[in-house]
Amino acid sequence: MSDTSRDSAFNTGTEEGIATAFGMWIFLASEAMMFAGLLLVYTFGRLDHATGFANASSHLDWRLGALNTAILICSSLAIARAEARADRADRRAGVLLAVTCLLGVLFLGIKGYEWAMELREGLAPFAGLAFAYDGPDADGAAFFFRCYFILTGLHAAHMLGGLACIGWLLATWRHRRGRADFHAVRDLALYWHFVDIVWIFLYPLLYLIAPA
Amino acid sequence: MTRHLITFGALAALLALTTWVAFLDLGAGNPVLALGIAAAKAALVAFGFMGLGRSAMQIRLTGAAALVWLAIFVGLTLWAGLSG
Repeated sequence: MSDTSRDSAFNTGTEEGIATAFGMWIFLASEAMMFAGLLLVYTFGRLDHATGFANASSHLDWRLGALNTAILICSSLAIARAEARADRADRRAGVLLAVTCLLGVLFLGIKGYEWAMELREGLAPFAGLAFAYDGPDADGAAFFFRCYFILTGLHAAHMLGGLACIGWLLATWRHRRGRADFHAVRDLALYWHFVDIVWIFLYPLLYLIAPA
Repeated sequence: MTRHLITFGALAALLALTTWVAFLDLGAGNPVLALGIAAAKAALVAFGFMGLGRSAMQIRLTGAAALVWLAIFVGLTLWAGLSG
């Protein structure tokens, strides 16, 4: 029997929930392939330029990397709790979504501060910018920093996408009443946790090769 | 609630562990350990926060298929790049 109360291609809200989660997991699997390809480029660079990668990595502040990892773990806890509340159609899930949003903005603020420092120190070897690194294996170091900016930049773009979706959810929050209206929270949480997993790999690979 | 808090606590502990071991000189063991801990943290997020173990069968299959494709992709590329 079709649910005439909502405009949906599914017979029940449960069916719709499983279908949207299924779609999100397939999307995340494709995202994993993209990040894996980039990490393979990083791996070959690191194997060919062990010295340059280690020296370049020591220019990053591992404390800021660790702090951002902690912030993302907290944001994952916040959105997991938001999902649990949304699953019970508890509208207070919106508060936890707002907390997730704030933690995401804090993460991007710290990341932006790091990028600004690296640009000021001349450690961005692209777009015609001068590369001011003066340690051993400059080619390897330049390769590391290109990988660093591509990986952290792509990760930050995913964070921005997630924040935009949370913003849309909160903007339409007052219209969401029933359990089926909250499926978007669960799907968004899946995406947010995936972005957290990507950073979990980036933190040791970029910041902890030779921490100073 | 309990599952989420245990997952969060384990992730925080593993964050401290991965940072601490990075300062030990373990040679080739450093990247192996770093990736091992990262994989454990990823599994914690997937099962503790994303509820992969309690999901519908087709979703668990999607997660498993992603791992298999990743293993083929990464394994063959590393083999081709590192052999000879």
